[in-house]
Amino acid sequence: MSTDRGAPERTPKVDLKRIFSLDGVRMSLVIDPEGEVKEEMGAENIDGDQLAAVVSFVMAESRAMATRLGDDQISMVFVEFRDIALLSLPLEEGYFLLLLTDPSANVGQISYELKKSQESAGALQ
Amino acid sequence: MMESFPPGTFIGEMQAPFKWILIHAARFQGIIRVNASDGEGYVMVRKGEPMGCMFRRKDDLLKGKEAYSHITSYPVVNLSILRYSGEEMESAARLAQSEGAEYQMAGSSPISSPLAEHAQAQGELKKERFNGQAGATAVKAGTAKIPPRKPRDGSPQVVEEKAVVLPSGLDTESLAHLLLGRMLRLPGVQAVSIFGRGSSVLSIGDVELDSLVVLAEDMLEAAKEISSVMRTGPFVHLTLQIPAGKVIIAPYFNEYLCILTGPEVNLGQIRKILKDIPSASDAGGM
Repeated sequence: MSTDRGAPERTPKVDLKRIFSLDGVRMSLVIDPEGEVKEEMGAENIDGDQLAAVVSFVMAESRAMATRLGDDQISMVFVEFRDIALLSLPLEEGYFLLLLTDPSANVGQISYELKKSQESAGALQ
Repeated sequence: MMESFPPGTFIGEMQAPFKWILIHAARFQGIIRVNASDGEGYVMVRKGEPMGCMFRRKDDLLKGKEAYSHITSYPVVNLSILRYSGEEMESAARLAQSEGAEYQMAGSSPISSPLAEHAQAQGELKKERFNGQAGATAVKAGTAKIPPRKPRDGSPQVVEEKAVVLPSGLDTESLAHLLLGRMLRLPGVQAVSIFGRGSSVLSIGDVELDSLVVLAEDMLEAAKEISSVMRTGPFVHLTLQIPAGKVIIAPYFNEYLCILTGPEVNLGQIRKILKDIPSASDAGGM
């Protein structure tokens, strides 16, 4: 179920298995600064590469907005649709973690778990 | 011309045909300041009907029907909208009457209508009235004669708001009720803008959002692309969280809302208001 796309030395350490086990999470991906999937888990009916490319644009535009507001750092980008929600969090060196969740998923709880994971792994920004 | 009038609660500024704003102000009572190429004036409005009107055109002072005809002769004028409480409306009505600016449409109540009607209007508006501290933005330059609005307590500074074009189909009464009355009262909400096609339709709050809407639209377009690679259903909202606060983008009728908040805002409360918008529209709007 989990796919590692290589470049392990530079890819931030993220416990995708643990994240994927959180309530409401359908898919989790680690995406590199070029918009390529480095690691993914879940939702096999979704093309992770295409999704990564599209979400990279969202992150780029979000960074532009953050910079305009005087903040170089993004804490989180959350996009909700009727049928699905996407939660994107920056990792080290331009990588980011993308989670696909049910729209009813508890985003606060997921964020909290991610922060805990971040503290324990020291990998997330 | 309006120095003695009550300051009211500032709702917003826009460019529109005057009659258009009346059509969309069926539950509104207050005063609409008018700024045109040849002068400025006001129209006092109650429930979508003009009650008093004055316009200074160079050395001429037009009053009542004459002033109203002049204002409505413009295809588009700059409008600045101030909501009045029942008490403020009473006071303004007396002033307009004393200035001879009374204007009565056929079948409408005159300015000197019984207090009971004002009390009723006041009662209807009680639930919908804005917090007096909400939505303070600067009065546009060149309107020095207009009474100043009270800035929001603790606001860092008063910013200048650019007049904007309101496209037809936008329900300004609902906008005022839903956005000013509810969102701006939420702790942490700094500004709300309605935007579309890269430009701001209306911005309200302590922070100028006009320059952000292009970036907001870029984020929005990028987010909508997600629907091209997977089944998502309709777009609900996008939230960018940064250490300093949040930027929330959500659909609003045919346009979009951009909400700027501090870090302490309760996102759940905003989402609840966003979910209420379609039902509020269905309930009758303006």
